[in-house]
Amino acid sequence: MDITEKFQDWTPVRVYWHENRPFVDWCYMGATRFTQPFFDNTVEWQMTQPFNLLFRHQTPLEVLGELNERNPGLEPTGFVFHMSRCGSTLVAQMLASPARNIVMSEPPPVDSILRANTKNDLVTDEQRARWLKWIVGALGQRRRDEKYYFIKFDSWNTIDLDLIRRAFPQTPWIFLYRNPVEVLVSQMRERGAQMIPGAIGQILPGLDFMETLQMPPEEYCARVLARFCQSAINGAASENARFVNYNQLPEAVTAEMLEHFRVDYSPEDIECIETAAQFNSKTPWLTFAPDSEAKRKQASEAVLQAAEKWLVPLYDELESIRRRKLI
Amino acid sequence: MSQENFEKFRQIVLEDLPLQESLRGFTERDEFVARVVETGAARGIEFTAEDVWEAMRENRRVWIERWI
Repeated sequence: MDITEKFQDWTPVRVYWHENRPFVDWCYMGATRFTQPFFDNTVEWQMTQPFNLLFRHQTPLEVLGELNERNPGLEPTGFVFHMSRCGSTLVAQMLASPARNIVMSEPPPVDSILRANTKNDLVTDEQRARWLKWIVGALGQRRRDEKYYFIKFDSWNTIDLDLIRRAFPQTPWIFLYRNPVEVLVSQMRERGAQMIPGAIGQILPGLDFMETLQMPPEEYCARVLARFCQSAINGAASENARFVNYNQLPEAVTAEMLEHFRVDYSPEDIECIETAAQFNSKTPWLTFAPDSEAKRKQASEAVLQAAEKWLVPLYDELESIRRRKLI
Repeated sequence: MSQENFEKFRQIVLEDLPLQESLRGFTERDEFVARVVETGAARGIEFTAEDVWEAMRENRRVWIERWI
């Protein structure tokens, strides 16, 4: 059987390591669109289907390379990077609403490839960039008549922005950010994996694991967020870069963001995107309610101090870059 | 032995698109497992319903533990 026929309508859903080699788990998705807040939510539902529980392809990663040569998939239209808790899921949900869009929201196979060097330190940057092109191509296969393709990365993938840009030098990208006190309050309430020392590798360079464990959580989270923001700032000179503040949402999605991504939507598509903005992105059965003021009121002294020391200067710089780019 | 037979059957299914099509669309697991055993037997490959349940449990476990 021809390899493209064999994997038609199958999606790589997991990259894993076996005897120091990367492998891929595939799931039959048919024409299912990725419309849930996160990639794994959509896959999870498919995984409840008896067929998918029993039958899945498991292949060496190199199979993605063979497939990519035959059928590279859609070129990515745009990338979304973010500092976390700043409206990125809302943006992904808005972009996912028109049927012409493929949106991959924090797909774990992409993250596994970007962090492959933490599983095997012999993996080079060139390999990661090549594998990234393969997996992006495999996830960008048309299921119907989609035209545009967006990827929202995990917040910590911003650290690899430079490598991602080298792999996709033509792709426009945005970095979403938010008032750092509000982000820290949200992280203190329920910390993401990236905010737990060691859970996503060593995010803070120059510090050993024990040092990060002993650090006050507010400081650790602030320094992790600072690393993401600094990485985005380092790429700011690119014409492909655009910076969007949480307080510009949701209007910025249908205005400057679509313009930056060079996409052309019908009035029906725009309406569809605007409707998606009315709901809470992570719990779509609830309506969206702004919570900036409530979050700032909840900020502890430690949060305020950590934000002031590690994040406010970067936030000011992000704001300045954003304004400059609009001119 | 019947587990090895089931693994052999699974590889056959993954290479046979019409066979895959005939096994999709089941939402009830009991019905699905019965059909899988029956389809294997019709091709001369004998395995038990428990082999199929065990494979499904194992795949579910791997999926749930993917972050570990």
